[in-house]
Amino acid sequence: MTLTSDRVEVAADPRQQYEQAMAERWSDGVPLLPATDDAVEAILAASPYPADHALCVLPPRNGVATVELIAINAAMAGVEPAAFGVVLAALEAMSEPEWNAFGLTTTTSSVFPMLVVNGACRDELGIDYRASCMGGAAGRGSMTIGRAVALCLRNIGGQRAGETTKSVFGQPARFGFCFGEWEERSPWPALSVRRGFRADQNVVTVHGGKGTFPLADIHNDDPRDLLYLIAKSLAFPLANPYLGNPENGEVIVAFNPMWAERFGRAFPDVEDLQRYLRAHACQPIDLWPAANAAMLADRGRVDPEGRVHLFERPDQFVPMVCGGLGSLHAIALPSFGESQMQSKAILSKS
Amino acid sequence: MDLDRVAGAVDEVAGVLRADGGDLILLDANPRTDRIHLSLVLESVSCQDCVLAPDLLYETIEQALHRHVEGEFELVVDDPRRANA
Repeated sequence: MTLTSDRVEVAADPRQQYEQAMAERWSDGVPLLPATDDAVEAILAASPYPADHALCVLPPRNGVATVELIAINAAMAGVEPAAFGVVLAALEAMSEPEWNAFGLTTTTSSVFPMLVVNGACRDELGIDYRASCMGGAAGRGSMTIGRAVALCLRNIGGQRAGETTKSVFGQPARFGFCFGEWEERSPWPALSVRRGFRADQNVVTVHGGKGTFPLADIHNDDPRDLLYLIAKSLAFPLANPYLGNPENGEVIVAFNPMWAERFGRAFPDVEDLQRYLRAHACQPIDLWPAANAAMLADRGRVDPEGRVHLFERPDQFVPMVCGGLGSLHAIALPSFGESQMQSKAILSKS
Repeated sequence: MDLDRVAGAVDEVAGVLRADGGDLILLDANPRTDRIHLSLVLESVSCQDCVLAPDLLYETIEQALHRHVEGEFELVVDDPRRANA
């Protein structure tokens, strides 16, 4: 296999490698593994595409992401060859115009790609979906895949904090964010199936999420009461859909398995649950001060009962199941708004 | 979830119950869902008061499982005394 990328000499000492990666700005601040020929070739050997295939163009600097360049960043992140297909599928998903990659990578918002994986590859690749799946579980797949995507945006797309991206705060997910759905504990069809894929397919869904928004309760066992409070919490008055277009974007609402079981009994059809969330994710117009209320009224956002709904449609609420068995908790991944979630099948070399 | 370890932990508690004529049956231990489902059998128990109270028995089983099984799990115990409560 002939690699065509420029070669860089690095010191044998890992600490010197780290200094060099920081000085030359390949690093996200954490040590990287050296992308040796062997490491890159092993990853490329598992690719469904040839090394010179231009998979996509990554903003903000419109860098052409060849499979070889992606493999180099994947090698630096420590991606196993078998997991490379997830990185490729995620980048393909992010390239769909409706995902709005340029907007997401340049905005002042904290938004970043959040990867949700469905399928048997979760266990094969170490993609976390049980306890602490959104940080702390330390599955190799979760940590390296998410980081590889972030490194591709940095090193191929040219995303640099304060320069090409104006994100005011950033967020921890900008280091990489990848987790799975605990399909086996979900009372509803898997997220990937609801998005049109077969249950036996490995699928990655990319969500432009503004952060992780934890929700908890210990005082009420009634599923409808609990879901009502979750809906009200999602409709916080400075949520992005209240700033812009309520027809775009989604909010992922991740339930732990114990709560999901409770909600599943009350709402066996997930679409009924989504309708319930949509109906209650609203606030009275009186909640907002005059300037905000006037804007919402001008945009026709106030319904005849004087309520302002977070989103236009039930399908913009995306429930899924993951997390530990400690109960008491859900977590929302709020929407950037001007971005639509995208899903791609994860291909492997046939 | 190591199924042999689950079975060992259940057997540890079941042994105590068997001394009084009861039993603890492992109905299911699913590593895909991390759910362990047990059934308490009391039909042949000669001394009902000798069996730990439902909450205490549940805790005892849970502790025994935690000694043998790594990671989180959901424990479901079908206890006929709760059904009759």
